[in-house]
Amino acid sequence: MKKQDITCDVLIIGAGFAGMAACARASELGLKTIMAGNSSQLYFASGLFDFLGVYPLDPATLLTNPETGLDLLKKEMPDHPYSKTGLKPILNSFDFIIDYLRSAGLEYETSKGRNISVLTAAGTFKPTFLVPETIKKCQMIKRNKNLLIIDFKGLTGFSAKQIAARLKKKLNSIHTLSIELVPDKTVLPPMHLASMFENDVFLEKIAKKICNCGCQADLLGIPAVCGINKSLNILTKLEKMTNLDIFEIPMMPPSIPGLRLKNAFEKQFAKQFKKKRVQFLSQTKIRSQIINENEFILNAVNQNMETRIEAKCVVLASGRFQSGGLYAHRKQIFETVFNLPVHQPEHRNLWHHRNLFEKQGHLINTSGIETDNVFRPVDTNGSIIHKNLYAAGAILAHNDWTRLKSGSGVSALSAFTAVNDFYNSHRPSADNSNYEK
Amino acid sequence: MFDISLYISLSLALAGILLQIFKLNKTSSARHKLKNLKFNIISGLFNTIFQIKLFKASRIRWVVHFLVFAGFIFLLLFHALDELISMKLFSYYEPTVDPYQFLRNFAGFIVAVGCIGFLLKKFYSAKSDQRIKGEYKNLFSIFLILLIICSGFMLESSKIISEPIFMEMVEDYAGIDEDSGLDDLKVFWAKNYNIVFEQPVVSSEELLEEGRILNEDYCLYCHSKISSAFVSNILSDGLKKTGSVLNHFRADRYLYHIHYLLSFLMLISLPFSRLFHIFLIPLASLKQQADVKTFQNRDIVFNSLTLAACTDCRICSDVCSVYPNFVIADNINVLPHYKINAFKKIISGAHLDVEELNRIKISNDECTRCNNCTDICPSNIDLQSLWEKLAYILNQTVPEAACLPDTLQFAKEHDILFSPTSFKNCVQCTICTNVCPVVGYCSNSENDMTPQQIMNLLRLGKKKMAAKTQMVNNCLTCYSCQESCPSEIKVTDILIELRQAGTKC
Repeated sequence: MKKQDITCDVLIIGAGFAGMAACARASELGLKTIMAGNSSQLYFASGLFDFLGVYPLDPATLLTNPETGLDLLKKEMPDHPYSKTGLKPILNSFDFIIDYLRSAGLEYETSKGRNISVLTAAGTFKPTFLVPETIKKCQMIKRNKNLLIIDFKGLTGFSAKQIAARLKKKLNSIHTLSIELVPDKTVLPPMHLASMFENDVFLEKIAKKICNCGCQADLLGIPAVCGINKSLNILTKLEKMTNLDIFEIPMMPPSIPGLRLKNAFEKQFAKQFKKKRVQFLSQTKIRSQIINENEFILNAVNQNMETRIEAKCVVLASGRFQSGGLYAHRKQIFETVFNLPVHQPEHRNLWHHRNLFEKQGHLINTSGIETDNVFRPVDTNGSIIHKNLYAAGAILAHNDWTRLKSGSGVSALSAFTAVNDFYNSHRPSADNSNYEK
Repeated sequence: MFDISLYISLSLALAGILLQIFKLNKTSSARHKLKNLKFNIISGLFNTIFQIKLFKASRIRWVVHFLVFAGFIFLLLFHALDELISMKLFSYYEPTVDPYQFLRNFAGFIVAVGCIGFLLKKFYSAKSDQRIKGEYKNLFSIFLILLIICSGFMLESSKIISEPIFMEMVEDYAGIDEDSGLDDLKVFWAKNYNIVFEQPVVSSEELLEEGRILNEDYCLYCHSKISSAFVSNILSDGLKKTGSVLNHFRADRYLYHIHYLLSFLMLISLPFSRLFHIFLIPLASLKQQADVKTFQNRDIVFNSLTLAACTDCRICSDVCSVYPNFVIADNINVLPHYKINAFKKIISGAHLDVEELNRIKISNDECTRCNNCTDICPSNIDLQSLWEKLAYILNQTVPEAACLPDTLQFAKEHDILFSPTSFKNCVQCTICTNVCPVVGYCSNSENDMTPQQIMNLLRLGKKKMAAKTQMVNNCLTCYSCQESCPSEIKVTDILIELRQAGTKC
């Protein structure tokens, strides 16, 4: 096995959305950054950025203005990551990420301070804060519109008829079209379909089929498979060919908008890698760590490389149970990298409520790492564990993001705040001033 | 002249065959193992006569090939060797009597159709995939056969319209002159047998009737209706306008020389062109295929004599499991027909530099030993053993450092197939299927299962079923799935191990 030694300012453990956001921020600030982890978790991302979709926890009240929800949240849940900072840093972090992705060629609609209802593959509407440009036209769905929804035979998890059945009451006229592409193929994985869309001849074929289907439509919903790179260009081309307004409908994972997100981040990191600012150790696990007063020494291992990393600061963005950031033992929940104290219910019996659909949710979903106001993990007494150790993303405690629809917001906010805090308190010394913006 | 050229070409052909056998036997490194060979006579004979394996491989190719084969064999036995065979077998044999006249035309016609089919196939297959460049160098034999057939038809039709031959025949067999009704016969033959006379004959009902009676008396024993020679009949209609010129120069004599000289040229070229497969495919078909036992005993009994039976038909590349590798990675070296050419180069002692050898070796290592090529090879070449042999030769010539690590060793150390930890984390998220280039390329019939489905089979404990799937053999080992798996399952390693373990697991 090969071995290498590297030093850096910031080490980010985990390559999910929080890790990516932290890495983006750190490299923009001119810090020498290493990210270790498995970026494939981003295949599970929908590509939509949620801020706060539901609060109070009553499914009937979908928030249109997240600000009102946030005020209430601050009062009722003072431990929630949002309650530590307030509104402004959250919006700032979103703005930063959108700018960063735009420079990688992935366009998001700029925020209007309100939630948007996005049509999902189940035919329901989901509140979210920011959407890719390819999805934004779903806001045009109105009663007087003629909506056409297409699906592809073999593309599992997406049925135009199912969506139409759910939307029937809301719209006057809705049509569906099922397109068969390859007769011999019963399985058509979304990524292969998306790469087919990058071919102009294929696009013309699809456009012809849509034009010839004989339904009078002015708005077209298409599964989110319009190309992997330059999806907005492809969608605009298709719009020109068909003379329709087109929007994408996000699908079940593995989702293409998630893949676009992953590609956009990795493309930017590759640019930064040339300037020796960012290094991404993919498929890497942290095996052992030594914590000194001013630095961390960690051993990172992947299939053919063993890396010894010296870092001034660590951002722990390793996620929860599925990505292995937390491990649920029979009696207790552990944090897997540093063995930090984990906020959790007292007893295993309290992890889950008897009722699966209980309004207040399950207590295990609020477990995680307790932090101070700049997201540094604290022990049970409330004192910080290390001045340069931060936690970000899903691993944070009191954060039931699946129910509050606040996943991306918490990740972006905590990553952004953590990196900013390290940067402000440890400004690179004079000899490193060329790093600065 | 005929006899001299016949003996010269016969001796040349014999010498050529001996030379080829000597040359091939010298390079055949497994000669000392020839005694281990078992013969499978029945299937060998069947394959020689009916080309069963070609039938299985491609119906269209079989039809084309069988037209040429059957037609040519008939012409060889009953037309070229008529003095030896036809005359002895059939007491009333005459080349101008039905059914012989009709059958000769028919056989010539189907050979010509077959040859044109060959050329069309070659032309269109060269067009279909630009990356497999069409090679026209092997078309010599097809053109030669086509020329022989064409010259034969031309010869027959020039004889039909020939006045001099008519006059000779009248002199020899009828013995009639102008007084005893030669003009009547001329009228009849000009009308019914397409003969072109220098001085045009004036026909009338009476003369025709007279001619018909004379024809019945003298000619009908040896001359059937000309319409049964359906190709030459049409040709002679076309030649009528220039008939007098042709008759003046005795074109039939020239065509006769051209016809048999072309045939002798084919005889000479037999051992030196692709036509040699006529002898080598029966030889290869008679040899028994390598089975499990021969591999267990490590008797790689590959005889390079049979390699010369390869007709470069490229059916092996069509069915090859690593064909997606060629399409996706644009690596032509992995295709069997390409490797056969490389092997031919190596055993002929041509100098290849290390880089080239290395490329061949790496490409040969891509082979999944799925046995598809051996199953389908119409020439019945034991290709599976050839790849083993190639790997054996290259292992000795290419330095060890360039070799890939032994995956079997890895399997023994990690026991990846039998420890549930290696696949229990799978959440069936289908990412491996999504990034798999083979799934993207192959249709359902070519690739039955996707990587994620194989992981599910393993989770269910169906190892044997998983090992038998097409996917295991189709895998390019590009490691995309393993790189992208969010649960960090070693998908590619597992597929490779399944392939290695085969049905033993």
